[in-house]
Amino acid sequence: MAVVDPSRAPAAPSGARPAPPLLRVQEVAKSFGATRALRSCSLEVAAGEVHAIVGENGSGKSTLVKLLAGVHLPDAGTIELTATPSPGRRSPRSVQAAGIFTVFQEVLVVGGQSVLQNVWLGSDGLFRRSVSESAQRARASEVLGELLSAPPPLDAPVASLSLSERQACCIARALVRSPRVLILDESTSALDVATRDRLFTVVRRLCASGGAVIFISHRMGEIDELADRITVLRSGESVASFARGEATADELVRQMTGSDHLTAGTERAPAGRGGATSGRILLRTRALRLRPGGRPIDFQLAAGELVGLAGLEGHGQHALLDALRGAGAVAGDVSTGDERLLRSPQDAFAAGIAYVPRDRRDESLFPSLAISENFGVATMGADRRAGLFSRRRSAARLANYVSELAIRLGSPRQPITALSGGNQQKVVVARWLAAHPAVLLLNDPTRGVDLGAKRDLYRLLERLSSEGVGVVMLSTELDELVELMDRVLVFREGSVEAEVPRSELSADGLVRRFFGGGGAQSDAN
Amino acid sequence: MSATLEPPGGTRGATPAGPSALARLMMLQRRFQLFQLLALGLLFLWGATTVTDFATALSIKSMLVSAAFLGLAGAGQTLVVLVGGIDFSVPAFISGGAILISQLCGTYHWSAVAAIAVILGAALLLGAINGYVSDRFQVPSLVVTLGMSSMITGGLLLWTKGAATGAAPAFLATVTSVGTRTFGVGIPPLVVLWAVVAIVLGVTLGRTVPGRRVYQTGANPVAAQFSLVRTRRVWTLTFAASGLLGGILGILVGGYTGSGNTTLGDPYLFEGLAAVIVGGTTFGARGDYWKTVIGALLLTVLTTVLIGKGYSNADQQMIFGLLILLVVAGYGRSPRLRDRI
Repeated sequence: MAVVDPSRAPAAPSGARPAPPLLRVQEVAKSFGATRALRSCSLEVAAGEVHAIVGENGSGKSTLVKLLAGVHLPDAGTIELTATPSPGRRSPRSVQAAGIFTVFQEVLVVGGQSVLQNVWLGSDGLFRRSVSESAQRARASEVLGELLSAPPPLDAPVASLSLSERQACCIARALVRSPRVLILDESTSALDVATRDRLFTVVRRLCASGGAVIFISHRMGEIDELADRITVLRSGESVASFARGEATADELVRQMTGSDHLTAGTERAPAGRGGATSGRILLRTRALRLRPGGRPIDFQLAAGELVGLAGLEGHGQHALLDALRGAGAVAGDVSTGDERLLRSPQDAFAAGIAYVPRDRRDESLFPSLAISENFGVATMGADRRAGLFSRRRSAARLANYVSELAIRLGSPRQPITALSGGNQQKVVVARWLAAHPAVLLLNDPTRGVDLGAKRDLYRLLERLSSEGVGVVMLSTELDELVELMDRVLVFREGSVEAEVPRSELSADGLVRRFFGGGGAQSDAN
Repeated sequence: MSATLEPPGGTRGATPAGPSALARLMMLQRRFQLFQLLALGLLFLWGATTVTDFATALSIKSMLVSAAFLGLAGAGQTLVVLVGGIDFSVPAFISGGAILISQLCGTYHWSAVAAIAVILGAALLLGAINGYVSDRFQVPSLVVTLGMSSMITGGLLLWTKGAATGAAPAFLATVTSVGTRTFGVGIPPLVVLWAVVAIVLGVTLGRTVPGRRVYQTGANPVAAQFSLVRTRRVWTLTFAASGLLGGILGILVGGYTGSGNTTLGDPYLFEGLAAVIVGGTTFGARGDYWKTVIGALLLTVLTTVLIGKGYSNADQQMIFGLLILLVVAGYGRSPRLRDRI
């Protein structure tokens, strides 16, 4: 298996710079009601190039993608696919007919349908197939084989796949149609490292054959690795465009935020720690097995400790979090430091253990309810006055966290859907902070969250740990594992493959362990 | 999540001047049911100016009594729709309440208190079974409540041998009569009872923790579970409340008509649901009981005007159906759905 270091491997440069632009976007603007999502965005995508678009949440990236995909029509400006004449009125159908395919940020699959049906979703008419079934099967297995080392059977229901595999199906949906321009909107955030590396190979080949890829990601490592050109969006405007190597990461961040105050390092000073982690035990597991036949896990979390959980998708890190939040495991038990056994999530919460789930939209948000209620749902007892629930009290409690987490919101009575993804996530984190937990469990909390919001969250975690809160965080971002954690447990096939202390943490070392390799010493082999 | 909707003053920098007139109107509509209230007012005016004796005290009282029956039929349904289900057994609870109160008091000579206690206890229990079963076994509540409805109706037919006998206690006829005064005030007791139910439900849903749990469970059951809401309990209790309200309405309908039969409750299913939907409560935990109250008033005034103009029952049904389609289509237009990709 080819293990490509995801953060630093040099990309094959695609050369040919003066190629004619394949796609030209000129000064497009789009408003939704009173909100100006895009003010003026221009960019040119050349054939053979990976064109990254970066910007904070709310900078207009997703709106731009929806305009390119034909989901929305621009209020002003033009979008031309230069090789073909303008396809009349833009619609998702006409845009796809012109060869532009989009993989959206959300994992959009039809759970009850098979892998094959999901990959070819939307291609068939009501009564007729556009491609024969045998051709569909051949093409689907070819593309899935490129993306996944162990592709699922084509007839398996998509609901049985892991998140990463489902996202791979969404990507395959675009790839089987042989796109001229492929738009990947945060499509890598749900992928495990191996699949992502395979996707990058596919992307490079697509570009080498004259196509182009528009790539959106919050992970600077991926941008570094893949992008030939980077356009920065800020507040709905394209503010800068750099060729590969022209801008440092700091320069990009400065362009994205419009200031450089966020570029100050978040790396924790190792000297300031040490003492804090020698505190009392908050949580421990005894002979915990995450799957039948897995090695038992005896894990202890001390006060003030920040522990990372890492590994390829579905290797047990999620199951450990579930066990720690009281939702059970195959065998063994979980107890608090004072030996209270945790038999249910209710037990765990009563013992001061709060869990921030992974999927914000499906597992955390109440879309029709107000921001303040989304915040207060787990601690409603505190909002009771004379037996009645007081919205005002809930909003007042939320106000305590608005400045600390730098949540940007209008009125707490607005529906939660009025906020951008990063701010929604902050409200969800505040929900659990409001319970004043002794242990905070987080499941990939920075997935799809912009850099500014990430740093706000890192600062918060540091403060919590300095106050003696124990934190266990599953993360798919190597950088945050390396920079933030006191130790990282690497999972493989349902067991803890390795426990890496802070002093030995490195992105390369972690990835090697994901695949069952040893630590730094295996470099010699 | 899409980045298209941003709070004013978000990362985008400059704050927009303010919501447009249309956005403001939509906000008023969401909070105060502007459209429904306007329609109610206009319909009433239309009736008052074109139908003879429409706006007399007696006519208004009888409209209020009709609206109370309708509103009570929509009460349990409102709760159930908010939690994300639907209750097709409401008519069976109504028929059951009416038959039991007549038969137990009239034929078996039970005291009214004992009969009412038995009816309400049974309604609570059977309603709870509805909610528990659909949540525990993940069966759509539509199916479970249809089954329950069939079982209750069958059981009643068996017990009454097909012909319900007896008569409801006389005081129930007084309570539900249009002409009765409440403590000397010229408002029918049924209307006062409806107002009490409305206040209790309104406060419970809006201002108590159990009430908010109904919304949270309905808005996103998975997120509710992760937020330590005991969603099975919420479902069970919500359907129990719906059963209870159905039982209460059954006793009242029994008093109003004097006796019971197994098809007595049937019209209340569609009309109760119509009051909920026309009022503006929708699946996904949007709405409250006040909206259903407005819906019930609106439909009652509409019916009265239509009858006054000589429209037949069939015409009325068609107009009700059209109204539901219009309202549902109106809600389907909310911009959120468009941006959900």
